[in-house]
Amino acid sequence: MSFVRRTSESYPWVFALVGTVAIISITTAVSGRSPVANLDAAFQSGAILAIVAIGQMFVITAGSGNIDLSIPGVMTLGGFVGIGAASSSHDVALGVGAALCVGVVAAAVNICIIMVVGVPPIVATLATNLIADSAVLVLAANFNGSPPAALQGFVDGSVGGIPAVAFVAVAIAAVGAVGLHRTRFGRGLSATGQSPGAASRAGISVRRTTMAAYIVSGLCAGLAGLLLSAVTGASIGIGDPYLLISVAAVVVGGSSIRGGRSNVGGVLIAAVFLNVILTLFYTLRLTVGYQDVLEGVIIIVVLAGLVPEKVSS
Amino acid sequence: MSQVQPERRSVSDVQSGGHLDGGPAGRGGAIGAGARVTGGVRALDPAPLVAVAAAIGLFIWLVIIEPSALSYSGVSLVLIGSVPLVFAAVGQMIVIALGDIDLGTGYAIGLVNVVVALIMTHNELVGWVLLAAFVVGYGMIGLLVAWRGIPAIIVTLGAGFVWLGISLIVAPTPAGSAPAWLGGLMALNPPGIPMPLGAALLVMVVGGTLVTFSRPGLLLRAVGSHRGAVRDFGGHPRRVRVLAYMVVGVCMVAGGLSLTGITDTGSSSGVSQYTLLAIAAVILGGGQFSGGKAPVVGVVCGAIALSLVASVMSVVSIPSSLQTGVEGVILVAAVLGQRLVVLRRP
Repeated sequence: MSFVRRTSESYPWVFALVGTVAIISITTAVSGRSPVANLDAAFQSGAILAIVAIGQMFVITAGSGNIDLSIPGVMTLGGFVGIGAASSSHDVALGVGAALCVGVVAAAVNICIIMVVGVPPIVATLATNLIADSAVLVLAANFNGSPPAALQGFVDGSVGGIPAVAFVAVAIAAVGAVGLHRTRFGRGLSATGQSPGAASRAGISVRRTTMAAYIVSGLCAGLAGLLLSAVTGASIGIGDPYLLISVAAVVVGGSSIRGGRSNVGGVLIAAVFLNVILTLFYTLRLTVGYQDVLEGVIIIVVLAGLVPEKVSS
Repeated sequence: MSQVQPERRSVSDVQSGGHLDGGPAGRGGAIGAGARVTGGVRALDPAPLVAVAAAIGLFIWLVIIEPSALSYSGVSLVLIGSVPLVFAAVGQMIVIALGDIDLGTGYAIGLVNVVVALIMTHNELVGWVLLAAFVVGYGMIGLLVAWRGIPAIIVTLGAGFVWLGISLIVAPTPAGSAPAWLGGLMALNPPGIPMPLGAALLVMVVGGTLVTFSRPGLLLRAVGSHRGAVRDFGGHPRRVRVLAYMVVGVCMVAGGLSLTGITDTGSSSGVSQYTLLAIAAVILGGGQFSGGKAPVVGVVCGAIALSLVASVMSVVSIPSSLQTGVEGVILVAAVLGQRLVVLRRP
């Protein structure tokens, strides 16, 4: 028991990793096929989830109830704007830039509502999500862009059986990990999440650090929206499923929902974990309903296993 | 947390205040808190007034554009859609008063909706048994939060998936219908006061009285703001939390029943919006994420105001694509208004 406790404290992502390996084994055994064929789709959608979840993790790490619920709207809007820009200019780079711009603008709106107006983040980012949804509806009214072949080829392409987007996710995770653990900003972010008062007394600008976290999340959501739209085509509501699952990936990956403690590698593993579960459910031919029930139970069980600090009363 | 127990305070000592205010949220400080709580008659908490003003203001706006809204049937028609949100928001208010948050509200209402429309309609008894089991299930959430110390945001997130999954199993596509008595109840036209308005007032009076003056209501607010005080009042924080979550489950049942009565069908889609709307209604109504506040009147008005926004949007000549965006802006404006009122009277 104490071994489990110690492991969960030092390496909170171990549960997700063990779970991933176990589920891949079960899936392979059930389907009787090479795991690679099964996992291709799981890695592809897992990569997109990982990208948004890393952004979500930065915001959650800032603590004080910070959370980004504007991610679905920003993803969808990023997809529309990015695909639109890329298909009209035939320039993929311009599309990526446009999607990232959407993320920055959305982050600016979030920051403005939270810090200037003083609305709690959960409500503020919800409002931004509604505004982004509206912008999507306006754009979708006469939208006829389609993903450029180059972008589509890249997103669907794979290197050595691993989808290209997985490399993008790993690269972003690597940058995120360095940014979080090796830079002044990253350490300031963790300090802010642990104790805003102490962080501010230590010379960290809590406001600026929190702002930066929202910008990271916006950039991630915009990019992920573009990548997702390159697979499915820009359509209304494609970001919606990522609202709750991005939060789930963060906590299953071992980051604290209360902020201050984060784990980039854990988010990456958790994103794959949550997607291989879906692959297993699919292989078992479970209907969507049973998938959701099991996913919910797994989220609770994994978190019950992690057991954060014991409550005192 | 174990302190020397002063003599048990009676509920009447703290009846003067609408909420247990002051002192650091959460941890200990029971004696200081008690002194503040008992310290004379408190000024009325201004935060809920914004929600009341918002609801009235939006209704006046609606009446200016569409004068027929100001009639018995007009008020019924405009407010009927707010009934499920009122119950959802009161449930969410209880969770937020504990210092927790419920991300599964919408799917919980959806689950009750499909259970009522597809099962209760055919077999009343089985339906009620299932709803009772659902309430116990909500208590289990409180149990996990209280005993295992898992943050409520995560447990309710997982629970939300479970509720959604079960609803999809029961009703993969929209189906079923409301039991006859329920449809009749929602179409009721009591003399003098339109049904949805009467229901909202009833919730305000009964809920407000229970939260402010009853012992369970006192313990509820104490768990969220002064955990040490709970023991002083002879309560048990964990037990209070579990029971509170069961009451939340009852609110979800009420919300799901009323939704079924209105829509006359069981559908697992389109309910997810209730989660965030309910949270918004609580914040608009004067609740605080730090816990301890359960302003029933404000929350009910907040829920009505938020559903009135949709009604106003549907009669104002705003392109439909912009409506959700305007809803977002109004939400921010309402909370801004509340901040201004609260800041001016600290």
